Amino acid sequence: MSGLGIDWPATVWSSPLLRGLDARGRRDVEAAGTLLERAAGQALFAEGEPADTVLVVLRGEVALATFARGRTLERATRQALAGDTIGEEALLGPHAVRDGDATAVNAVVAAAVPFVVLERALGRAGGAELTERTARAVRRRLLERRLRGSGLLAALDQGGVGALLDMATHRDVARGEVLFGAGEAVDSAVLVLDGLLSTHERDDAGRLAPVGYLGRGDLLYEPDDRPLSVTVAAAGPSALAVFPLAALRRVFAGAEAPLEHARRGALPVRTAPPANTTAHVVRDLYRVQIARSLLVIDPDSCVRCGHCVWSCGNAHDDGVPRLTRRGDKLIVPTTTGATPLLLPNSCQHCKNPACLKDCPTGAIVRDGRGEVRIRAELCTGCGNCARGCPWENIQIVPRAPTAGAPAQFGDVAVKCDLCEGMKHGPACVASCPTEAIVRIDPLAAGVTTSVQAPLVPRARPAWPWVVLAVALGAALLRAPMSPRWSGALALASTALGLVYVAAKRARPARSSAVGRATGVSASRVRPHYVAHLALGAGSACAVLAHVHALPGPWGAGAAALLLYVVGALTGVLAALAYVVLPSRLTRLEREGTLPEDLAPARAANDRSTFRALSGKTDLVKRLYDKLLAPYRSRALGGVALVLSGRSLGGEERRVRGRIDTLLEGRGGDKLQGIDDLVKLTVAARALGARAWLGAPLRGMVPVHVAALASFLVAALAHAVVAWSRGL
Amino acid sequence: MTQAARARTSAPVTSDTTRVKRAVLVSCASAAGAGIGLAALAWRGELAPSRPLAPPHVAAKVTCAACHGAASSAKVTCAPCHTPTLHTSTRPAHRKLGAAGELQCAGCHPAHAGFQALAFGPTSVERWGPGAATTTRVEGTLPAGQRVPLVSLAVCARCHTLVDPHDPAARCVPPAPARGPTWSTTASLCFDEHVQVADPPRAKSGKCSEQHGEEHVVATELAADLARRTVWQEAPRSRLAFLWPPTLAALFAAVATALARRRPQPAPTPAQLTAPGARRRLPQVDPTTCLGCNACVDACPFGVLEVVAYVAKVARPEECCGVVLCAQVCPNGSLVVQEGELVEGHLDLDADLESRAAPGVFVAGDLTGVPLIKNAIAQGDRVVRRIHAQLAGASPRVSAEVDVIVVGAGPAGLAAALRAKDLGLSCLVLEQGSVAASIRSFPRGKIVHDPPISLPVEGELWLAEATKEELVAQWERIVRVRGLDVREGHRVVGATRVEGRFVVEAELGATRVQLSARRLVLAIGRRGTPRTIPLEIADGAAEKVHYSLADAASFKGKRVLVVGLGDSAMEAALALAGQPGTRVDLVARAAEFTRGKARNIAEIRRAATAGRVHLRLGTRVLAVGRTGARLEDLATGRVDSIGNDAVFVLVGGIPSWDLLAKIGVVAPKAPAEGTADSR
Repeated sequence: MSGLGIDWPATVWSSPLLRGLDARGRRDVEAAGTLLERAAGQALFAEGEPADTVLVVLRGEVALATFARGRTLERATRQALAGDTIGEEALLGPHAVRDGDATAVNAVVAAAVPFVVLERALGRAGGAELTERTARAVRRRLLERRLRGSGLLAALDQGGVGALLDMATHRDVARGEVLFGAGEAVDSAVLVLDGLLSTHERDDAGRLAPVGYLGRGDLLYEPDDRPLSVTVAAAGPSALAVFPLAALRRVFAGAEAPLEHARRGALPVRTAPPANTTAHVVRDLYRVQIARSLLVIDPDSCVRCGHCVWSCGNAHDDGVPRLTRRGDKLIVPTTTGATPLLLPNSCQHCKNPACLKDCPTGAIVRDGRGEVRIRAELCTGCGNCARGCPWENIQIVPRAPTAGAPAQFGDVAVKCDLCEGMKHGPACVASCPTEAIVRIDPLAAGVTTSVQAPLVPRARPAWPWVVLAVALGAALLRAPMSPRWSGALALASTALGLVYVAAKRARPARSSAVGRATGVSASRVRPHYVAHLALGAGSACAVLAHVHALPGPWGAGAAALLLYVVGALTGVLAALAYVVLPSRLTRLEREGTLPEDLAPARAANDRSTFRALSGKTDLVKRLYDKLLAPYRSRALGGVALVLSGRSLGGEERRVRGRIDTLLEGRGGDKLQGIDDLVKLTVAARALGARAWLGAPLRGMVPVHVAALASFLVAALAHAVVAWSRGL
Repeated sequence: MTQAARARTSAPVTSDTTRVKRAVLVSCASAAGAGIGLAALAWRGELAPSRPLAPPHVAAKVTCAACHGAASSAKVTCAPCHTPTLHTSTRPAHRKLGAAGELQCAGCHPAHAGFQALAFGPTSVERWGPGAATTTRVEGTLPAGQRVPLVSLAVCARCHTLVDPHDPAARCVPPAPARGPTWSTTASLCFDEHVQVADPPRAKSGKCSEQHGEEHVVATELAADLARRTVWQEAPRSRLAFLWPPTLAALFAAVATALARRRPQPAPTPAQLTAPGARRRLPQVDPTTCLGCNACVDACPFGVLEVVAYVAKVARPEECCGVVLCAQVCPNGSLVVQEGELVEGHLDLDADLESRAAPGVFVAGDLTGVPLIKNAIAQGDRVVRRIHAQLAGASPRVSAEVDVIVVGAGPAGLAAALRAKDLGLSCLVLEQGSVAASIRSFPRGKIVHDPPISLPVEGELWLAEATKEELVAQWERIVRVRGLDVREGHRVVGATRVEGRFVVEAELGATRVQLSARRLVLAIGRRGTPRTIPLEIADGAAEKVHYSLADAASFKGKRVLVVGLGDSAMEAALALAGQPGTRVDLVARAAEFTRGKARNIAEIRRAATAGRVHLRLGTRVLAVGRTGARLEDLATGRVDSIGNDAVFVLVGGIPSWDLLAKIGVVAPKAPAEGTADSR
């Protein structure tokens, strides 16, 4: 793609869709749009690609072909000549995909206009009716396709189909928008053209809990005029077709079987979460459904070092990480049980990006594969995308001097760019020492139901190399070797361990070839980590051999030995902690945290507890004073929780059980709010437990590094002394 | 649907590389310091494990490896200089031990510690120890060049009992005054261990002739005396030298700590809220450049702006508070805040919120025009600081008068009283209702939002994201704990200036009280007194008419009438509609929604569609009876009755303009229309 010149030819502006633009609109469209040049036979777009732009053919001839039944049956072909508009599917919004293929018949020049910019420009200029007319036609096409898919049209004649298409009104809803409240009478049927609706019920505590979903092609239809028992809301931005109930019944007069068939069971559509599943999977199903590339962390092998975030910041010129290692933990059911999964904050390259629609200048674009990119040169830093992203994955940061841009915009929106141009793919994945973080396609992995294989592939094992190093070291111990050689070996192997430190800190290299690395990216740090462990085992053997051969250490040698013992012990303990503790920690977490988050979390817990207590009955307050407060503040309560081996849920049930035993089933309504308090209290104790677990996990590393760095200095001094004595 | 402004939780970037940075930097620095110290010690030989050698060995450049190397043996090493086989002991017992290999040369003549010798010069004698020597001048002729080794008595003490006079070795022990502190630092005085050869057969030439002969005999004879006169020699080992590594380590660590310490972040400069301007400030949008990005809409805490057809527009100018948040967030300067028409009843205040018209009277809180709790707290604080500065140079106060009287116990008043307490000013707070009455009237459980403005909130009054109950509870606790003198139920009706002092008149029920103060702070807010509507209230129905809603839950299952269409009326109606079994009628004279937050309007519409709120626009309440109310449709004039248990009149308040005029802060004028809400 290349922009040609500054001024687009007049042909563009005289095309029907763009005719209503004023001077500013033309400027905006031109800034965001591109001129495409294609030789004969080259594709302008292909079926199924994201449709973000409307194309105006300026020169040449384009063949448009639509298909049916998985591209086996070519349904229709038409030719587009200069001045014609193609790719109007873009009018449907960010969820639109191309209807068919567009191929250049001869040399073609076409102007690609991002629809979001066109829509705004027309809206400002008052030319919205024009797009509305085109959009109606496009929507009608889409609606017909969806209706056919749902089997509703099978029983209708041509007139019936036309009537059905005529009566439908199109409606776009935003995430969270309520369509029907519980208890309201439903006067229309709703077909989901795209997106996801969720149905909610109030749970015992009065909160809305999702109980079911209506996906693409599903019909919301109440046969008898009963008021709804559930609240229907949009789980994400959705496109709907609304049919007046009376008119719909008239079309299907007497034969409502297809309607009955198309509607998803009797509302509420119950998709109760499978056993062992937290509500999260269900609560934000939309996120999982809409993500193209979801960054996930296996909390059972993640050692909470936060290195992924650090390297993300390091991989970008402005030093701002596009990734936050926080976010919800969810339990994904597998065929063999359940596995925890952490969804950190990082762009998931939605199939239906809200940010794209919200961008006033068309700075957010998608490539043919659907990867969402921010064009810094068009970005004004207004923050609309950041506010539009439901998962807070876009940040507004001060513009780095290198990011070319109009000088007046000091800020720029940034988000995960999948480390475009990096040699080894995303830096977060490449820098993980335990291979706990990967990007997955959630639908391909089947996150919504149950997964066959682990979502995060198992890390390459380190133990064979450690065993090999120990075997070699043992052989060394038995072999006669002068102290000079064993000393040199100990020093060298320990110093080689520094390579791991260097590898961890290394700034990811940009690939000389433009474009992104293809294929599955794997951790680049993991092999270094494995080598580090093996070197550690080997160096311990060498040190043993060295000390073994000498009558006794003294001076710098003694200091070095002492430091080595400290360094080696902390290293071994850290390695063991890496294997054992993460899964234990996961059981006590409900969200992704790093050791630094515990203190703020405690303060937040105090505040929430204060809030949860206010306005409660005296019984609840007394229970808190007598039972929960002492439980919360008991010294070493965290250690007790660690030792008990219980998970958060288990501990909550135990504490609740104690309350029930105490009250012997009394209380009833007066106990309202106690569950929240129990949850908060257990979470407070778990914070202590997490601090206890986090200390060996992360606390060993500084001691290890410092002790071995000091060891290297002392050992070097020892070597110099020995050398000067001619030993 | 207005989208709530969302801020991504800013999380610190942590990694092992950053987390341990400081710790590793400091420990590496200290390790480097220790290493340098150790290296220096090693260089000076302080670390030499075998301690120094005797001067002849040093002169002969004997290395450690010569004796301790793997391939070396005593024979090979010592042979070039020593001939051990010739120097057997004169004592049979010692010879026997020697033959058994239990008493060898090095047993009595060690190379390192324990070695002592005398070396004769022409005029002096040198006493040698390992790595040390002293010279003693000696009168008379000396056998220059002769050396006599001394043996430590510690060697003899292994087998002999030196203190036993019957022990043959006892004669070798010097008399007490000449002894060292231990046997190992005392030289034996016996020099007959080996054969003295005055004229050795093989001493004609070579090494033997240097060491043996007449001169050696003389030297040996002198040795006993000199051994007593000279002190035991040992290499000076400075104990202090070992302080070097730890000292250097600590020094380096301290430097690294200082370097690694993050520089304190400069505190964000607070948004300066100046005194209220004389003119209304309203945002102006340039439609030709506006991006329609919603940044201003999300920034405005009061829903003044809206985006219509992709261009921002001022939808509710009456709600604008003149804070320029919207202009600050506009990415391309399309929105600017400009001064417009004159504000009615403008308070002429200086930068410290002191009235220009009535010096000595200060104004703080909502009255200054910015209805934010945090702003009120900041202003109350600021006003009292200014008063403190003013009073510092003033004449002392007379008894029966206080430094400051604060009118109103809302956020501004309490902040002022707290600061006065801290600064040592005597302060009195007069409140017509109860502490934080305006906050108290918020709907139950309402989250008091943290407005998107960075104001420094000093003190303990602010609670982030607190519910109304928490905030009120916190303030009541503060009043109690800090002992603030808050007099509730005092309705201030006027204040006069008498000789630079203020005499404040207040009504306490039916009685009138007069209080005297040096400065007056008006923190009365804009709520004033709730506005009433002309109503026919039946006997016994007065108590069911409320002017604020504190707790919606207590109206569970009741039939409630809400009068008004402002935000407080709509919020109250929604809160009541959320109660199970409560029937809510929302009645307003207006025929359409004209004001209020878009979110509230949308919610009310939804609730009306769902039948949770019975919306009756263009209607007025005629009369309220004990179990019902009569309503009149303004368009048709039709009157109907509804069953009713409670009536909420939420049509705003009348600010206390009369009081302000009486005090002289504003010019007297007709009561202005009050705003519906004070936040």
